[in-house]
Amino acid sequence: MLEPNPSFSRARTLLSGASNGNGRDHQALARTGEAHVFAPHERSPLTPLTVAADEIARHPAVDLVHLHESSARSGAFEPWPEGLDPRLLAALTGHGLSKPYAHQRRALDELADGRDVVLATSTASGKSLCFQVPIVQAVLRDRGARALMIFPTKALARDQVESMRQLTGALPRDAAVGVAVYDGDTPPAERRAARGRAHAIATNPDMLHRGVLPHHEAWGRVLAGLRYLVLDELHTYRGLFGSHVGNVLRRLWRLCRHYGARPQVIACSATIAGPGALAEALCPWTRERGGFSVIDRDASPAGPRRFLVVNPRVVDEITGVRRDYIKVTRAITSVLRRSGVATLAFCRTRRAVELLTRYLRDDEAREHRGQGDGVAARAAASTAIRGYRGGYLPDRRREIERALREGQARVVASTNALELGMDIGGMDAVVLAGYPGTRAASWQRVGRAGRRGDPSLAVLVLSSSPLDQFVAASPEFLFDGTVEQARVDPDNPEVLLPHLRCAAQELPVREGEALPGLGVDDTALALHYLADHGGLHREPGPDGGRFVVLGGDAPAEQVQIRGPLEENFSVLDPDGEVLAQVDFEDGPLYLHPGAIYPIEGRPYEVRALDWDGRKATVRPVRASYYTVAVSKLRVRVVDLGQEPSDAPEDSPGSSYGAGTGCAHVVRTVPGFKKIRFGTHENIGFGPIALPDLELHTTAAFWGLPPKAAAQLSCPAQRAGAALGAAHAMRHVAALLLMCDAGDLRHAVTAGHPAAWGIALDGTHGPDALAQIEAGGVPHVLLFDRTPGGAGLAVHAYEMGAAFFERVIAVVSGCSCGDGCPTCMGPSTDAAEQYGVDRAAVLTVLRALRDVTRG
Amino acid sequence: MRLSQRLAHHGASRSTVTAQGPDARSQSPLSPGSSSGSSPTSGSGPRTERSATAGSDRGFVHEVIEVAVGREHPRPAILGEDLAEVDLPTAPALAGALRSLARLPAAGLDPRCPAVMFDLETTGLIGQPGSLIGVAGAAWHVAPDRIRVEQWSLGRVGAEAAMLADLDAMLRPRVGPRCAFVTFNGASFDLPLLHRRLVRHGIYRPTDDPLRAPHVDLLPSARRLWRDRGPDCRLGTLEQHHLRLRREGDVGGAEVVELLWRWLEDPDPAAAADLARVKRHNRIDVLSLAALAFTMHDRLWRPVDAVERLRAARHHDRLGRASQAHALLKPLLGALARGAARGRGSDLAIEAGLLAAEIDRRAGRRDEAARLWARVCRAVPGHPQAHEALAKHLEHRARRPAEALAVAAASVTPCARRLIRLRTKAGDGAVIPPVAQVVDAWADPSG
Repeated sequence: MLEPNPSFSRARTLLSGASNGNGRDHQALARTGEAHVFAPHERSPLTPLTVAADEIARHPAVDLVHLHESSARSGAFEPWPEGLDPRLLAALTGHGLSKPYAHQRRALDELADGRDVVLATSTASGKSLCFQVPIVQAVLRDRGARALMIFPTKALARDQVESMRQLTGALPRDAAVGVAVYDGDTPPAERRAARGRAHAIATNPDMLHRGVLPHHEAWGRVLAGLRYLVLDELHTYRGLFGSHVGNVLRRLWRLCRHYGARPQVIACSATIAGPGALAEALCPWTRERGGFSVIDRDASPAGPRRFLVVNPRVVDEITGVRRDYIKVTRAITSVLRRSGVATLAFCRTRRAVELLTRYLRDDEAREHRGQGDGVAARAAASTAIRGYRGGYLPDRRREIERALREGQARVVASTNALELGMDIGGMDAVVLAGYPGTRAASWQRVGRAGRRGDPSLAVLVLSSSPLDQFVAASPEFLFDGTVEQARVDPDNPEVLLPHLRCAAQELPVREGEALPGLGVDDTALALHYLADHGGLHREPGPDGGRFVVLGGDAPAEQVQIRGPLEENFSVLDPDGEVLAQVDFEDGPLYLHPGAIYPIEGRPYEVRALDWDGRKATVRPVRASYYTVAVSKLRVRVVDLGQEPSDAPEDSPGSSYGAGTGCAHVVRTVPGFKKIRFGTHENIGFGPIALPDLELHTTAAFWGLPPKAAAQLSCPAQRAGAALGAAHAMRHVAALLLMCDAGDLRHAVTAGHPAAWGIALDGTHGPDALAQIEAGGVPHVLLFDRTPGGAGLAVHAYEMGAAFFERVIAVVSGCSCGDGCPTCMGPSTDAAEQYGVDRAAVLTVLRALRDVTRG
Repeated sequence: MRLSQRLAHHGASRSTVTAQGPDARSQSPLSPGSSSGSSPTSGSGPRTERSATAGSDRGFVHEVIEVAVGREHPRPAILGEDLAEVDLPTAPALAGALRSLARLPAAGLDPRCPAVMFDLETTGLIGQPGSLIGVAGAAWHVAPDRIRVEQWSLGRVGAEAAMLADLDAMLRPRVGPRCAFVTFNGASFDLPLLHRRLVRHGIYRPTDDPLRAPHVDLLPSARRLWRDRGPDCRLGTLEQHHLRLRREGDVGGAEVVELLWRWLEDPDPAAAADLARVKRHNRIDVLSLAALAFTMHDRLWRPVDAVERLRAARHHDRLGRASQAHALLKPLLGALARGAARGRGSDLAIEAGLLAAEIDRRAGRRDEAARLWARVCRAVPGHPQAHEALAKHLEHRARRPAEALAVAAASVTPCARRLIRLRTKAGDGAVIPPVAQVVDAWADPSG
């Protein structure tokens, strides 16, 4: 996901200045010129949705911060283009698609003109049809035509193949168009059939990278006939992952040329800024034929939408503490649940999904108990209220999607797992439990509401995190701002070089050959670099040299495009049946003995964890609490690649300069808390004895010089300012390095960088010890999230003072008053505790800039 | 930032690019002369069509030797003593032998040049992306009594395309409807791998297969004939057991992969000597394929023992030569015909009897088939297959439901539905004869 761009200083100021709650909010509404008296609304008829919306707006648990209404948009239709095969036309009209939307028509026209197309229209605007129709048309014209459809996940590929088969299934028998999935789950016989007979093949970047390209001769028929390359959910290909995908696509394009094909690209993206630029960065070869036609004017009909931003009420006027946002989300979602409105509640964490599912089921069952027996009421609640998140088994996920489509499930609490284009039909309402972190993600989720022109409702329930409270203070941030950009950098040597090895294994690279988007000179540079370092071997020859891979190893097997994959944990019931999967890194957090692991709100207690066997045995329990593991992060920089830049002055507490090296990061999970359901009060603590997780990666560090430390005399202020600076540095580095902010991490430690320090970062803190330590002489660390490093932090360091100038410019030059999520400031409790002020952050940044100069 | 700067930073921050790490290889690039280190092709009559150095410019070496079929002629020294005791088939003999081994087009093979014996040495298994063709060998008759062996060996990885193009240029005009491929396991390895590599290098279009020709893969026939009759069915084992061919200093399959990579990675004299061993192995392979084909043909017509006789008959039967199969089975049926005592009879005879009966049945010789089934029933009372077949015959052909019922009921696995039907057909008051009596009557109708 796009990283939260948090801050909060302004929100904080606003909060402290206006802790009188209600009145201020209404004034804010009035100032922004919105209809501040929400109901009664003459325009809208009384429907369950409007009634529920009114009830939410007046709900005693919340203050209405903002109401945004978008009016209905009627769809613009155009006729199908001339020359569409009559059999295809019949199939389309048979499905009620007698006329395409104007944007669909435009996509088809651009494609017919030979252009590459990127569509960035809203959810459910019929983007899939824009690749299905041209593919079918091409196959009906030429039986040898093929299409590759790349989806970011297997589930999505499966879903889209089913959808496309509905169209192709309506074609006459003699015009059959084969559609197949080819991924890691496809059995061997079906794989052969897919390669040999399917016209449109759905796969994912991972399979393309490891399963298709290295064995390209088996795909020769497909590659030689390739007419279209479809990249769905383009916006997911960003950051390091996107950079890898960009190189996989380079290799694909090289092989297409080898087999004599020049496929057109059809890319579909959620709303992001600059979809054309992203598509071009991923498919650089399209530049020489004029780049992408960007189609972002949505012509599909949309119903009127109300978007309510609500803030949980303050419960304690003195401290300004607000109601727990999960509990408030429970109350708000229950309003929609009672109204029988189909609702999707997006939560930020898996734990929140489980809590909300449980609470909503409890409420539903309680309300219906009066009418019948408790067991039946609970069963009915379990059908109507569902949870959905990563970690559930595929069968369960398919089943929930079907229940949503067919209407048995009325309310589903979900993580972003439902954000991508899975076909779940339209919802009436979407509740966001907490600000998703970016505007792009917010709109992507909100787009799930609204079926074909019907009115829809979106409710954002803000949490008390600074970022959320910033949104509360400036809701126009959400509606007026442009969406975030997705960035990739396929030329990052750490990514490019391994893929170049893969390319050389696929076909020896000739001297003088240019990789798409790289040019002859840069390709040669990279090739010779690899040859000099033993990654490739250069063979001379009468017709020029060739770069080859020796030793018969499979380079693609050594390149993990989604980061390293550790075997995940299976959650087993006492009979050995698998209930769920948990990612390796999350295992210690969720599956330590004694943990309560909920599945769709039903609690299971972990009896035993077999670490090496990656298995946790659980049993269903009636628990009145859930567990939250506490984790600590320690980091040190070892094997300093670049010595600290200047000798420390010989005084205690002095700085150790700046440099780069290998970071050794250790995450410890020492214990867990027991939290009571409903009240969320802490009712106990238990120890955890599990192995630490270690990460070895590359890092850069900058120590605060003594003079600056002296200026910021309060240790807490120093720590907070260093953390704010680290956060800003990470985000600006991501911007400059064209990576995702999540590809980098930041931390603040104290003392010599080679000594263990307790790290403060977005998820780890606050901690008294950490505060004292970091308050000593803070060192700011940036390190890569990929084990072994991806050259990002080091690259940021190499930019030197210029890097800090950019960070300083961003932090000081933002048009906001005292700092905002865009320019600086962490979103965590840590910041709340330490306090962040822009002047202190700037002091730290300027001091660090001077360290780099020295 | 420019890529050059970024690479400089990359170099400063990391010491290695891959797991391999920097190796000395980049300092010792392949010099043009060093790939000519293949073994000299002296001896009686071998000649290299293109000089080794000329070949190495292209990154591969193409060598040709010719061998006389009879062992009285000295073999080229390059082959060593391995083939000293082996006769190779003449062209017409090979054409005839291949006819015995596989179903071939009616037009038959060209008796002057019936086949190309073909074998690949590769750096891995099929389906492994890194497995390329290191050595390719092909052998065919240039005269009725002379076989030419052409061999290509790779000098550098990047030259595989050029080498395969050269190989293809030789193969394509040669193989065809009247000139088959002969391989050992080529149906699942050598030929598909060759095709895949040709497609991979863009020499063939993915949809084309210009090398379409009859293919005699000796492995399935060898398995049919000799399964479980030796330690395994590998070519080397079969050569030892059936060809009196003993390879000196031969290389094993896994070793080939290792030696080829050693040569391609670092072609020093030691690696060249190892490559020479791989090449000799490959030459012997293609020649021994011809010898093995002929020997198998010989044994299919003149089996050395009863087991081989039965298996040869099966082979002929499978290839649609029922009469030959029947003729081969004759000697085995004696044990059944001589009225061997009830309950005796070797498994071999039983199997032979059933196979012969099946052939008779298909040929319409119903009574003879029935006699054989009855004899099997007599030798092994209750034998399910024989009882069922005989019961069917009695029911549908001979129309004797009572006898059929007796036979069907005596099977160790009687079919309930058949019994019910036969009871109905036989009628309520029918007398069911004892099964031994029925079986004896049908086993020896004259007696």
